[in-house]
Formats: sequence, structure tokens, C-alpha cells
Amino acid sequence: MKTAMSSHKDRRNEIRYSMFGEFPGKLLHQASQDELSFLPIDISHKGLGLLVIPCPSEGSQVRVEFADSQIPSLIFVCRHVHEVLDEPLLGFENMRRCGLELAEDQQASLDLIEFFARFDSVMIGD
Amino acid sequence: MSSTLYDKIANKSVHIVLINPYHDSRIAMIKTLHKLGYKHIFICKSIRDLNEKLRQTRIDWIISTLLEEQPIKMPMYLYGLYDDQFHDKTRVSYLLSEKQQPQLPKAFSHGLISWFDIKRMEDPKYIQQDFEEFFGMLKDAQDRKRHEAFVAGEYLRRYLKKFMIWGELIAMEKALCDNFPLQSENLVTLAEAHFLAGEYNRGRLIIKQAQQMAVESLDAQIDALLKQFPKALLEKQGSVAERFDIKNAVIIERDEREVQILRLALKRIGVNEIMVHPTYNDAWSVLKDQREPDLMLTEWSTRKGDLSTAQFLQRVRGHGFLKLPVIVMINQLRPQEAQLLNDVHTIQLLQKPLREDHSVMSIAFAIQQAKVPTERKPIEQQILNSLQSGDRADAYYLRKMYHADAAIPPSRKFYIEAVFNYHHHNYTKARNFLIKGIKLGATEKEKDEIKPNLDKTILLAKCLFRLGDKSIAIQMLEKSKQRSPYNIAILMALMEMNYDAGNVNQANAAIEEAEKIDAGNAQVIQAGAKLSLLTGRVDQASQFMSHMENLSEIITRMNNQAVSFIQNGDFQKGIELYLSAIKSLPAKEKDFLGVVYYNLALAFLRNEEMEPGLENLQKSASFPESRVHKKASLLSKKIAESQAAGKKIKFSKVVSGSVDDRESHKLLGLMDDLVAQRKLSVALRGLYHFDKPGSSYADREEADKEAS
Repeated sequence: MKTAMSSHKDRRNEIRYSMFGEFPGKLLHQASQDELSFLPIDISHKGLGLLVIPCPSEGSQVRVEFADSQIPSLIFVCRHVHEVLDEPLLGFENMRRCGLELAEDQQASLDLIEFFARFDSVMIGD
Repeated sequence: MSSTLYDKIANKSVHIVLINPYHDSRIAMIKTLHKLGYKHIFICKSIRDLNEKLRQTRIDWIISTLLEEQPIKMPMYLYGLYDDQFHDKTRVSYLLSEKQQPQLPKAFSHGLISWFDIKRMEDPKYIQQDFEEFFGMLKDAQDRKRHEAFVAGEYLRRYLKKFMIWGELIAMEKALCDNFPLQSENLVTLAEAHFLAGEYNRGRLIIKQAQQMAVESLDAQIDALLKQFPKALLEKQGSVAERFDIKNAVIIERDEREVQILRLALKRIGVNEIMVHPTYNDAWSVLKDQREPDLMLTEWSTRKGDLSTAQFLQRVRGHGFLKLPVIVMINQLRPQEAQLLNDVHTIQLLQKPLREDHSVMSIAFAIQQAKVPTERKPIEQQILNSLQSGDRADAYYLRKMYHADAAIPPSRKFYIEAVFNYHHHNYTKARNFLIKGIKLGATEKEKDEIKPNLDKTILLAKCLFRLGDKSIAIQMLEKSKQRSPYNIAILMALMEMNYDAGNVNQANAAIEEAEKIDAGNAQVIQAGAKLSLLTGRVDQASQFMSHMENLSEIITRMNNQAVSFIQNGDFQKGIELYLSAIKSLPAKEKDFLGVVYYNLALAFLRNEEMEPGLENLQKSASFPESRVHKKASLLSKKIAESQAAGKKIKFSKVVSGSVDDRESHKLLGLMDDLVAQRKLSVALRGLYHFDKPGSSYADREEADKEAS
């Protein structure tokens, strides 16, 4: 188990693609149900890289819940957390970059790239 | 080269011309130079005298006052001196009074190597001291394998620091950084210039870059600098805008609610100067005449009666606003529109209706990534932008960061290496790196959902084209066009490649398609005019030219192209191009008509066809409004006199540039700022530019006078 903050970016072994825009939904801390502010940064088939405030601790679970209730929620495990800048921006001191991995039971049936590409508000690029 | 001058100084073979009308000072200087062992010293009284001397012997070093009392002054002479390659090995130093020192920035931009205080030139002790210091600097530069620009830079720096001209100091230090990006100690002097100007945030960002270069010798310099400017350490915090030097933002949005949210978000980030435009027509009419804004937030729209976002953003990028971070607010997007947003390097998307908190976070992160990128894609983008806009120091720094990031897979690192190789004209290596990257990436699943990086495809097509695989290059671009049908840059590249490959119909088709996308796009008009001129369609060229706000670029390109045809042995084609241009230019463009007739005349004269040469020279002289009027009049008079005296004037042939310089190898130049165009010549000339408003035209006139 890694402690507080890893010094490297998240260590997904898959190829990552850049992702920007907004998810049509919200990100919730699974245990506390607190809503987290976030920005997508990159994506792979099984993982997401996000900027998050406040950042969940490594190992904890988060849930992406979509505005359209027909779309099932996605559960992720926070794998890595690291600082965005050496000198945090004023007003964004708690912002962290974190790597989320899709929960194991959802991995077999879901490709995150295919899943998120359906939303106009999200752009996935090489 | 400095080494040549220094070698000659070191082995005492240097040929020196001294132009100093002050008797005592002149005698003292001659004596000192003799004492130092220099035997080849020539005394000249005027520029005319100097020209005579240059015809008789080799001159390595000219030391001169400004000759302000004389008809031809030294600054005029220096301005045109290095236009002639024959003088490339001659260096000029000024002798100046304090009152004359404000002329220094301009002189250094024209190639001055050093200057000396005329007051000190009366005392042999100071003369020796100042000359030995100059020789020492040249030696140091040679020992450290540094370009002589650093010697000139040190002399200019002294003046700028003494009179606290910080803006120019920053410009000069930046020029050294960008032109010698691997010499990281330049970053420290650039940071110092920003600190001196009170720009602590900017200076700190540069110090951070220098620290990340991990060069041990830099650490001591950085420590010393920070001790000298403790304020730089103290003033760390600040708003996002302050930290990243964002002073203004442009919003293009009609919905008042969204504008209000953006205003609040920008205020929280610290941006105070906000310009709001309700339409794209309105925004474009203002922006095209202004300097690049710091940030742009725009809706996505295709409203009738206004430019669409796709048209607008391509105009913005085509105008040279490459570094401007663009955030687009969307409701809905079609896949091809999304691809175009990717192609024009949109840095962030915001979903409407906007939420204030989310907007603050998105904009702040976009600003940070645009200024100090830490993520893969923004770093790649910034590298490209930096190379295109000549900020090579930034590009090299980012390349180092990019390669050090273990999370970035090798397939992508090959892409960045290809970009740098392409920039340095190594097209074979660039192609090989791109292909290696593609092969390595082949294990990645091709997905329609992923917007491809078309910059990569276009780069490969350009490499292949330049290496002779023209049809494959064109096919690749055709494929890219299918993926991004609204992309004007692809169509422009297709036009140029097809023309070059002899497919004139396809080239025309590309222009027509581009016109359908945005007939008012300056790049489309420019390309249309160029193609029409090349294919001799005068009416069409006239039509395109009538829509152009500035004809300088097309006239320069056309002239280069004609010269290139002539260099390559196709004299007739070159002449036809000039004639097409003359027929296509609107009658009101008297200045340009004079210029083109003049160039046409020179082409004939150089080909030893005196009669048509003289005829066109006289036509050029018939435009008194033209910048070449005086030149043309004097030259035609000179030819007439020579003919009357039965003498023959010999005109030099056009000097062939290197293969890379020729226009035929720059056909892609219309779109292709990625290829380095820099040619190092004399001292800071061509690296550092001094554009004091209002002074340049008068200079040009005076220089023309001198040239004639």
C-alpha cells in the first residue's frame, strides 16, 4: 500500500490518450458520498487520470454517477495521487492529480474509451 | 565568423580601417594599435574612401565614428553592409559619445560587433585596455565555441543596463536564448533581465526552467542571482493570472448569463482585462489588428450572417496566434467538428450551461498547461508552437522534460524527435522516427473514438514529399482530409504538393474546397493568388489580390519563386511569373508595381539582355511612389551613360543560396513555419531585432539612397 502521495504519475501500463471536457455527471466519494470537483486529463481502456479537489486517498473508492439515470454508475479505485505543481496555485492548494482504475468486476464488460467517447462534452485524442 | 577575426587579431594579420575625424584621438589609437603589434592599419576619411579601400584590399575590422557631419553616415552604411555576402567577414565597431549611444540597439540589430567610448580613445592607456578587453571577449567566445553574437550581446547589454532599457534587454536576452537553446546559462541572464524589469513571476518561471536543466554550473549562477534579487523569492504567491502572466482574456459569447459566469470565473483567477464580443465578425475585425491575446474563451456556433467558430479559429491560428490558449464552450458537437477543435489545438472544453466553480478550475488548469505544461499533450503542443514561433529555448527545455517523463511511451517520444529533426531540415531522420513511432504504436488499438493527431500525419506527409515520395504524401493528406474535412491547413498543403507534383487541376480543386470553407481566410486568399500567378491566370490572381490587405508577402514569395526558376535554368518561366504579377497587381499598388518592374529589369540585366532590362527599369522609375524609384532612376541613368560611353556594365548573377534556401524547396513554406529559417550571420544581425516605431521606413529610404 502506498502512502499519502506518490512522486510519479500514475503507473498504468496501458497507452493513455488525452481527454478533456466534462463528464455529464458527478464524481462521488464512495464511502462519504461527498461530491468531488474534477477535471478529466487522460484515459486508457481501464483507467482515468483526473484532477480532483478534494482528492480521495489511495485505495479508496469513488463513483461516477451520470445525469442520465439509464447509464449505470462506474466504480473506480484510486490508485495514485500526486501533486500538480511544485508551488500550488492560490485557491487550488488541495487540487491533486489522481489515477483511477475501473473496479475489477466492471473491467471485463467495459472499455472506458468506447464508453466516454459517446459524450459530446468529452474529447479523446491521440 | 568571430573566430576568423580573432585568429587574425591573435596572429597580428588583421586588416583594420580606422575612420576617426578627431585628430588627437586618431593618432592615439594608431599608436596604440602599432604598440599592440598591428601593422595593417588604414586610415579613411569617409564611406566613399572606405569603399575604395574595400575594392583594393581585404578589410577585417572597421572602427569608425558615426560620421554624422558627412553625407553618407556610418549607420546607413552598416544597414546595407551585410546584404552583400562579400562583406561577411568584415566586422564593425563604433566610436561613440554618450549622446550617440541611443543608436546602439539599432546598430547591433544591423550587425555591429562592439563599441567604444570616444572619450576614452584619447588616452593610450584606456585605448589599450578597451581593445584588449574586446580581444579577450572574442578569444573567450572562440575558446568556449560560442557564436560572436555573445560578444555583441555583452556590448549591447552594457548600454541597456546603464540606461535601464529593460524591454530591449529582455528582447536581446530572449534572442540569445532562442538562437542558442542548448547554452542553458542564457536562461539565467534572461531571468535577470526580467527581475531587473520587475517582472518577478516571469523571471521565476525561467529560473525554474534553468533549475530543471540540471546543469551543475548553473546552480551557483542561480544562487547568486537570487541573492541579488531577494524580492524574486519573496513574491511567490499571487493569483493564477499573475503567476502565469495572463493579463487579458477575450470572450466570444452572446448569452449574457454565460458571459457573466465567465467574468466571475476570470475575476477569481485574477484576469481583470476582459473583452467581450457578441459575434465572430466583430471579434475578428478587432483581433486581427491587435497583438495576440493571453486567453480566449469562445462558444461553438455556426450562425448565419456571422463567421462560424471553425472559420474563426482557423483564421486565428493562421494569423500566427499559435500560443493563445483557446477554451471552447459547447452544447453539442458532430465528430468532424470535434476533430477540427482538436486540430486547432483547443486546450479545454466547457459544457454549457456553465458552472462557475467548474469553470474556474478548468480555466486555471488550461492556463497552467498553456504556460507551464506538465501533461503529455500540452507539452507536445507547446513544443510545436515554440519551434514555429522561434522560441527555441522553450522548445528544447520542454523536449528535455518530455523525454524524462517515464509515463510517456516511446512511440510518442519518436514523434517529438521527428519534429526536432524536421525543424533542422533532417527529413530522412524525421521520417524514420515517425515510422518507428507508428510501428511501436501499432500495438495500440485503432479506435474511431480517438481523434487522431493530424499534425503527426501531416508531418509525415511533408517528410515524404520533401524526400521525393510525392504521390504517397498526397495520398496521406487526402486521407487526413476525409478525417477532418473542414481543415484548411490540410487543403493548403494539398494545393502546394499537387502543384509541385504537376497536378494543377487537383491544386485548383484544393483551393476551391478551401474557399467553400472560408473564402475570407487570408491563407486561402494568399494560396489562391500564388497558384493563379504560377499558372498564369491573371484575372483570377487579380481577384485574389484585390482581397488582400497586405501584398508584401505574396510579392516577396513571387519574387523568390521567379529567382528560383531562373537559378534552376528556367529563365522564361521566371520572366512569365513577373509578367503575371504585373498584370495581376491592382493599378493603385504603385509601390509594388515599381518593385516588380525593377526585379524584372534586374532579371533581364543579369541575363545580359540590356534592352528589355533598361525598358523595364524605366517603367519602374515611372512610379515615383515606389520605394525603388530612386534606385531604378539612378541605375537606368548609369546604364544609359555607360552605353553612351561605349562601356559595358557587368551585373552579378543571382547568388544561389543553399539548396534548403531555395523557394522550390520552400513550396510548403506557405504553411510550414516548423522548418527553421534561421541563418546565423554577423554578430546579433538576424537574431536581435530593433523596431523603434516610425524609424524603419526612413532608414530604408536612406539605405536605398546609399545602395544606389
